[in-house]
Amino acid sequence: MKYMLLIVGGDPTLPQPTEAQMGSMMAQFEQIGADLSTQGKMVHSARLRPNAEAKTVKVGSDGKRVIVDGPFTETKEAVGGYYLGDFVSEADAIEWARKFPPFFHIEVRQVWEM
Amino acid sequence: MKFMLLIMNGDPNNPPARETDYPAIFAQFQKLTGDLQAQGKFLHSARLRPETRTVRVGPDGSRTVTDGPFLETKEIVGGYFLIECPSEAEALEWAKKFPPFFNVQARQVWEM
Repeated sequence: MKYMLLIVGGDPTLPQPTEAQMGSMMAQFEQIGADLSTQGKMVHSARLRPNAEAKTVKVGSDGKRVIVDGPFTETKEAVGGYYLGDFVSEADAIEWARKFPPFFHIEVRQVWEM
Repeated sequence: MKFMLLIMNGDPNNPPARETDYPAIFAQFQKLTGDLQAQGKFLHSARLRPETRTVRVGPDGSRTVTDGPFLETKEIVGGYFLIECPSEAEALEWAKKFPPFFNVQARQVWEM
């Protein structure tokens, strides 16, 4: 079963990583990728550039498209990256989601098998 | 340059997609995939189920599993296309080709 672990950053109630913590945080992400690969569970992952740089193609009710700067969501939190993994169960996916650095919430979404 | 095109569901300003629109929507996604593959620009895509669980972190580092997304917006990511293309302008051109029921957010992948 494939699950997408969406890494949600920017929650103002959480401590933000200090410069010194950034290094170990990146190492922790790499370790998770390596551990998933070792277990044959890694499909794909990427870190996305900041949400502020996003551009959105918005569709109006008339079907017309407009390109706007930004994600156009009103929250500070945003998806900063993801891990797509092949897990044995939702519980397994959630166990992996618990291993991420403690500066991010992780949304767990199952891929729709087509 | 790699771009993640996030397909957003649930903006009330989008035209509503009806049951009868679905075959055409899926055909359009398949055509997009085929066109991207033909140009060597397709990397990955997936459709995500709407059900969401979130592993939330507390300020003390404790973790709680909750039902539903963390992000309290009307829109949720319904799927994505990860593509390789030479410019942001081109990524946005591809984003315009998606079925006209979804906003598409273009996010560049951070090259490491």
